[in-house]
Amino acid sequence: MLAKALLLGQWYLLIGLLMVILVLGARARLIWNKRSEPGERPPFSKTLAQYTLVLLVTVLLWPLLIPLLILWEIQKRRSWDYLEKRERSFAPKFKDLVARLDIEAIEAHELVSDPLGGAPRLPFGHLNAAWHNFIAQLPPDAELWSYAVVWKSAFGGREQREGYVTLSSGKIGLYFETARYDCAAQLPRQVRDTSSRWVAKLLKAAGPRF
Amino acid sequence: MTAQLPERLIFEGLEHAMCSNPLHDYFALGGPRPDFRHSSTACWRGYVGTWEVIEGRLYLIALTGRLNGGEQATIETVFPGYRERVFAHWVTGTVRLPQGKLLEYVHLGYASTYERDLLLQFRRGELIRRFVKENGRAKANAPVGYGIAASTTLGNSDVG
Repeated sequence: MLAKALLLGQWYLLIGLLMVILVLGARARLIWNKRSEPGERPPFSKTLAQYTLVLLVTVLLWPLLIPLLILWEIQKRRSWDYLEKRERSFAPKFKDLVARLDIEAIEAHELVSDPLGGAPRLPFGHLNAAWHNFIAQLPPDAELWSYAVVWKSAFGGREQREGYVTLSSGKIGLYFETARYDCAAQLPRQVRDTSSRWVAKLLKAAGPRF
Repeated sequence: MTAQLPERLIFEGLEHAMCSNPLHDYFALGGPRPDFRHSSTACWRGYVGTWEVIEGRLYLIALTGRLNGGEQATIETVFPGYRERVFAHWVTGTVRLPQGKLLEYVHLGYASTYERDLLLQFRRGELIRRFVKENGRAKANAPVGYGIAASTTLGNSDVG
């Protein structure tokens, strides 16, 4: 019986020592940072006391620290800094491609016409110069594809993003965005047109050249 | 970020506060952005646009603000050659017009909530749907209409 209790005790302390490594790993930088700021530098004895306290509490009371560690991790994952680091920059992927198009077809489809004269009668209207900048950068062998995707941000937001993208030597390259809006701000799903359906409708209406 | 000044939208003859920034989308899609002066913490974008829905289309009809060089900004600053109105063909998505009394004030962006939101959904600048979202009933003494509690002026203010 005693041997069994000793064995259990040994395992308890061993796990506690492993937890010390985890906890000190997480807290050491914090304690060290405080020491490295001359204005806030606590005396060495205080730092030693802090490390010792962490060590003792962790070895002896480690089961109580597990929920605390989980809480720290959850808090970290919700922090602005963490989410900002995880945020990827947007780029369309192969699965987002909708249809291969040529410049003439895109320009015909994107022609803006306003009866009140509020926009130039040009492809992409007021954004015509941006479009020309985009096509001026196309590699000679580039294909143009339309894309539509719901982009999920690290912050939890969902954006509908649509536009045209280049495909050159089997790789996705530059893209020209034509629509970008927050899905959460849209009308209820049952009354919303999805972009893919909208693009499919357009392609169907445009006939075989697409 | 402080609560932000809204844009203005004239819809069916009434002027509303609009908690959406269609010009931000224009700049994000590649439109050249003038160097607006940030005149107040309540207007980090540096301008306030006035919009109107005319025959089911969204138009920018006025713009106030100042550039960093000190010049007054107008519609023509952003859209040279267009003095009266600009068709906002790049706008796809929903704009939010808060209505009624204040439910909860949040001193951040357009995060405050009001009793109702009139949501107008546009596709390529054309109004395709409208929808009223009920958010709840406010206290009897709650202020009516969009407002911001405080801001800091950073220079000469020409917006608002």
